[in-house]
Amino acid sequence: MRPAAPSSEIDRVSALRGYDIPEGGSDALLDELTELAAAACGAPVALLSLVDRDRVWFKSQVGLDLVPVARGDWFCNQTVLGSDVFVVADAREDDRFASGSMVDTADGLRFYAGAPLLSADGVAFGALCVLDRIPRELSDDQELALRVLARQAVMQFELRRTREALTQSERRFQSIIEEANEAYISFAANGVIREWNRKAEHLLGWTRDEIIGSSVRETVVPADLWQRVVAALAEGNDGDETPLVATRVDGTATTKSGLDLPVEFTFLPLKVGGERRVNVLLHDISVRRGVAVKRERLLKTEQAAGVELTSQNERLRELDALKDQFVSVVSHELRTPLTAIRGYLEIVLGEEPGPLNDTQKRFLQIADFSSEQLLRVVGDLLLIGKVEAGHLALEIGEVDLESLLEDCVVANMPEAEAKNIVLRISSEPLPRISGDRGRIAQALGNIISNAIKFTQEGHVEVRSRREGDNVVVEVVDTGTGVPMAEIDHLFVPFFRASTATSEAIPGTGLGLSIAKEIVEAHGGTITVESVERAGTSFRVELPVNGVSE
Amino acid sequence: MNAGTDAPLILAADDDEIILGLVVYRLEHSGYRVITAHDGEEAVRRARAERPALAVIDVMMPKLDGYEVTRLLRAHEETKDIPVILLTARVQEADVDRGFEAGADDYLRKPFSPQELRSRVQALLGRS
Repeated sequence: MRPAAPSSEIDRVSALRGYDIPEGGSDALLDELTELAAAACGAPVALLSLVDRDRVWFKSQVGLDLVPVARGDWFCNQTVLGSDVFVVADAREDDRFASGSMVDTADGLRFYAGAPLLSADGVAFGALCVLDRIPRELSDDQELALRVLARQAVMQFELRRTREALTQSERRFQSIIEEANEAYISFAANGVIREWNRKAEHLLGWTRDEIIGSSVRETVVPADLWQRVVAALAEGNDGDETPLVATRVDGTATTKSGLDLPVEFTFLPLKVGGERRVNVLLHDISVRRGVAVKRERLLKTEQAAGVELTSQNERLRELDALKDQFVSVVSHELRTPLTAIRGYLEIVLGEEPGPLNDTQKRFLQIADFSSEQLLRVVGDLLLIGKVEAGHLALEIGEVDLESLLEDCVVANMPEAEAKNIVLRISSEPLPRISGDRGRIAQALGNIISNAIKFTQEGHVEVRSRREGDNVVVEVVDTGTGVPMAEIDHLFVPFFRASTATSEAIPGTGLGLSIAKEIVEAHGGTITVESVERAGTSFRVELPVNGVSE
Repeated sequence: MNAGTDAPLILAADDDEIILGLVVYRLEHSGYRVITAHDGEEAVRRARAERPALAVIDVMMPKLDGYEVTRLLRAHEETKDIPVILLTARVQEADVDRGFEAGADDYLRKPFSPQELRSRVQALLGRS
C-alpha cells in the first residue's frame, strides 16, 4: 500500500460519495468481510465505518447495532487522518477518547484498531475496525489481516462503482442503439442474431422477439457478403477486443416480406465477453440510390443534351455561315434589279420619255419611295454582314456634326410630320470631329428614325453639345418606351422590341445595331434609358479625335 | 435630243440588257453617242476598233470581267487613255481598290442614279 498524504476533508468526502454507497440495507459480502475481521482479530466487535462530512456511519457491524454518530470523538476520525492501522490499546487511558459516550460506561469499549479504507487515489474515507471491551493489542498477523480486509472492502466498493458505470454505459448504449435511426443488428460469429433494434424491426419487418436467437443472416446479410465478414473476422487477433476496421459495403438486404432493399452495411466486428460478434448497421440507401439513379439519368440526359447542343451549335454555325452567304448573295442580287427599278423610275419621273399625268406621277413616286426603303434594308443587311465579318471600313474625314444633324432631322421630317410628331433640334456649337460622315449620318439617322417610329404622339428632340473631349448627341422621345427586360437586347441585330411586334411597327431590327457598330467603330459609346409608356432617351458620345485616317 | 455625229462616243458594257438599256438611255439623252458590248471581250474589241471617248464598264461580265477589260485597255497604246467608269454591285472596299489598281478612273456602286452617272461622265470628259 502506498503511503497516503493526510487527505483533505473535501477529497475524503468526495471520495466517499464517489462510491455512491447506499446507507440502508445489508450487504452480505461486506458483512462477511466485517465478520472475518472480527474473527481474525478475536474481537467481539467489528465495524465498517464510513466517515462523512459531519458524521460517521456504519455500512456493516458485528457485535453492535449503532446508528450514525457525530465524528467528533469517534476513533475512526483519527484513523482517516493516517494511512495505516491506527490502534488505541486502552481508550480509558487515552485523553482523546476517555470521555467518549461509548467508552465511559461500565462495559464500555476499551480497545480500538482500525485500518483506513483508502481509495485508489490514497484518500482515506472510512475504516474497517475491530473493538474490544478490554484493553489489548493486535498481533502482526491480525494487523495484516485487518489491513488486507480493509483493502478488500475498498475493492468491493470499486467493483460496484465500475459495475454501475458499466450498467449506465450499457443502458446509454442500449438506448442509443434502440433509438438510433439506423438498423442495428448484432450477430454471433455463427450467424445467430443477438441484438435487433427498433429501426431494424421497422426496416426489415421482423420483430425482435421473432428474430433474436435465430439465424437469418443469409436473408439479412447476403451470403457472399457474410462469407467476407466471417473471413475478416477469422483474421482478427483472438485476444484483441478492439473492433476490426469497420467495413462499409453497399448491398441488398432482404426484408421479411421478401423485398430487396438497397442498404449500406457497416460491419463492426467486436469480441464481447469472449464471443466474437459482428455488429452491423444497416443504412437505408434507397433514397440515396434513387437520387443516384436520378442523377445518372440526368447526367445521361445532360450528355445527350450536350451532344444535341454540340450538333445544334454546329448547325447554328452552318446556319450562320449560310445566313452570311445569303445576306451577301441576296443583297448583291437585289442591287442590280434595284438599279434598274430606281434608274428607270428616275428617268420616267424626270418626264424625259414624255409627260406624266398627276396620277401616274403620284403612283410612280410611291414606287420610287418604296424602292428607296427597299434599298435601305438591303444596305442595312449588307452592312451588318460586313460588321459581323469585321469588314466595316470607315472613310475618315472631318465631319461637321451640326450640319450633319440638321441633314438627319430634315431627312426625317416628312415621317415626323406624317405622324404629327414634333421633331426638333437644339444644338450648341460643336467642334468638327474626325470620322466617316456617311456612317455617322447613318447611325444618327437610324436613331432618329427609330425614335419617330416608336413615338405615337409628343415629340422627338435631338440635343447635342460638347462634353470635354466628346460630342454628345441625345435623341429623346415621348414614345412607347422599351420594357426593362428588353433594353439590353436593343442593339442586337434583328432584335425587335415586343412593342414593335405588338404594335406592328415595321422594321428589320437592324437600325440600332448598325448605329451601335458605327458609333463604336468611331471609338464612341451609345447608351439607352427608357421608361415604358413614357419615352426613351438614346445618348451617343463620339470622341472629337476618336479616329484618324 | 439624240447626239449628233460630233458628240463624244461612249462605250457601255454590261451583260445585263436592262442595266445596259438604262445606261444607254441616260447617256444618249445626255447628248452622247453610245456603242455597247455584252461581255468583256466584245468591250475590248469595240474599244480598240472604235476608240470611244469614255467607257462605262460593268465589273461582272462573262469572258472578261471589268477589271480585266480595264487592264487590257490600259495595256494598249490606242486605248490606254480612255477614261473608264466601273459599275459594281460588289460592296467590298477591296473591290473598289481593285478597280483603281486596274486603272479605272471612277466607279459607281449599284444601285446608282442615272443622273449621277451623267455627272461622272461629264466630269471625266470635261477633264480629259
